[in-house]
Amino acid sequence: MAGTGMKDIKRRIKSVESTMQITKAMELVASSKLRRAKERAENTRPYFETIYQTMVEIADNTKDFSSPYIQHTPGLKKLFICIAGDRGLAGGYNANVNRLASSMMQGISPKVISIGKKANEYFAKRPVELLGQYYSMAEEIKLQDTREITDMVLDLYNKGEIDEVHIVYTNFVSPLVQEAASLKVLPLDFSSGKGANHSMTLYEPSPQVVFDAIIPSYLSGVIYGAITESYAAEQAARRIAMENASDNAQEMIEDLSLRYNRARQSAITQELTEIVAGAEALK
Amino acid sequence: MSAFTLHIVTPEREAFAGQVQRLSVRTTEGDIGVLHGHTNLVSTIGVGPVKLVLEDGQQRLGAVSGGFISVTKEKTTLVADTLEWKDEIDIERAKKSAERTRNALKEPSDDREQKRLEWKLKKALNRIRIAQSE
Repeated sequence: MAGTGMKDIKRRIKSVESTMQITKAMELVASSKLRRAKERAENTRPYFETIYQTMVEIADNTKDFSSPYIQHTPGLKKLFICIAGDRGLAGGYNANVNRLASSMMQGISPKVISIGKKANEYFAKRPVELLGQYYSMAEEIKLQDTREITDMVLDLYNKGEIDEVHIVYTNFVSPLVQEAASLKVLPLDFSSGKGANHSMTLYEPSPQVVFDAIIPSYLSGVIYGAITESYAAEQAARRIAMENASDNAQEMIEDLSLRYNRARQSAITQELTEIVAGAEALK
Repeated sequence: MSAFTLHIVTPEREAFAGQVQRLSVRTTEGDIGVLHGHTNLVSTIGVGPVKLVLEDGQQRLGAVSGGFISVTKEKTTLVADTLEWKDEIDIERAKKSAERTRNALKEPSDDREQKRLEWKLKKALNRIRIAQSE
């Protein structure tokens, strides 16, 4: 009957409304977190660009010694550092980065260090060797926090247990665009093409020592940067997802209200018809 | 005196970008000074002061730790793990940190921990020294 239909619709409107309150709140939280995360990612960017650029220049000017970090042996024992979020409800953010990572792992059984609960859960169920799981570190991360990972990676690398290191993370392109991306961090594969630029460079104390000392800085810098980028991307993705959810909820509420009003109107019409028909019969 | 381009970056920010007449900084091998036309150099940064002489002769002093420096003909780049300019140093915090680290150093759990604490103490003392310098 129309009466019960009205009750159902009323209940659905209520439930959609309360969902909308949640998505609305999450949207606001994400956008305020995004503001801070974006600022941090932007402040950090010059550091990475510079650190990477400088490494390229150093490697370019350095033809007089070899380092295990530059030599390229075909990578068979790969290590992936995968960065995803700690929480869901961020649209395709976690799924995209996990999908990219597993597509890169096709056909090999790599070692994995996962950062973020969603990455931990994902890789726990996959045929990979999990070397480390980290979570809830992204929001307040400091450079020192990446040292533990860096030490572990370099230790394995120097022991020869791994010979290639990739980072899979999400690039914060703009508040509306995030891209899952991967970066090969070791061995250094610099092919800038201006190899002729061989000038005398002074290394203090020695090229080997300098190179070995800046590799950890480089690596933790890159990990730090990837985490800050990913975190900003996560907040941006969540903000968009929640904005869309709120919009959809709003639309649903409008649609349901219309149906509610129609049902109400038709119930009234029916009642009137019944009364009129009753009065007519009494004449 | 002619100037050269200097970039100083840390993970948190771009600490300096511009022209300077002179840069002096402590490397793991000792203090070095960089003037215009310095030969190409790559070295690792220790814990110590960093001093700039800007184009107008003004000086800037800061506390730096970790990272590396690269000098090329085009520009000089200082990539530091941490860097605070003198007026940014929180001296109370540095003092507390030095105190805490000193206590922890009495009973370090292992060699690695000891190294980490020593490095931390050095950083704290460096900050205090620079904040109190004239």
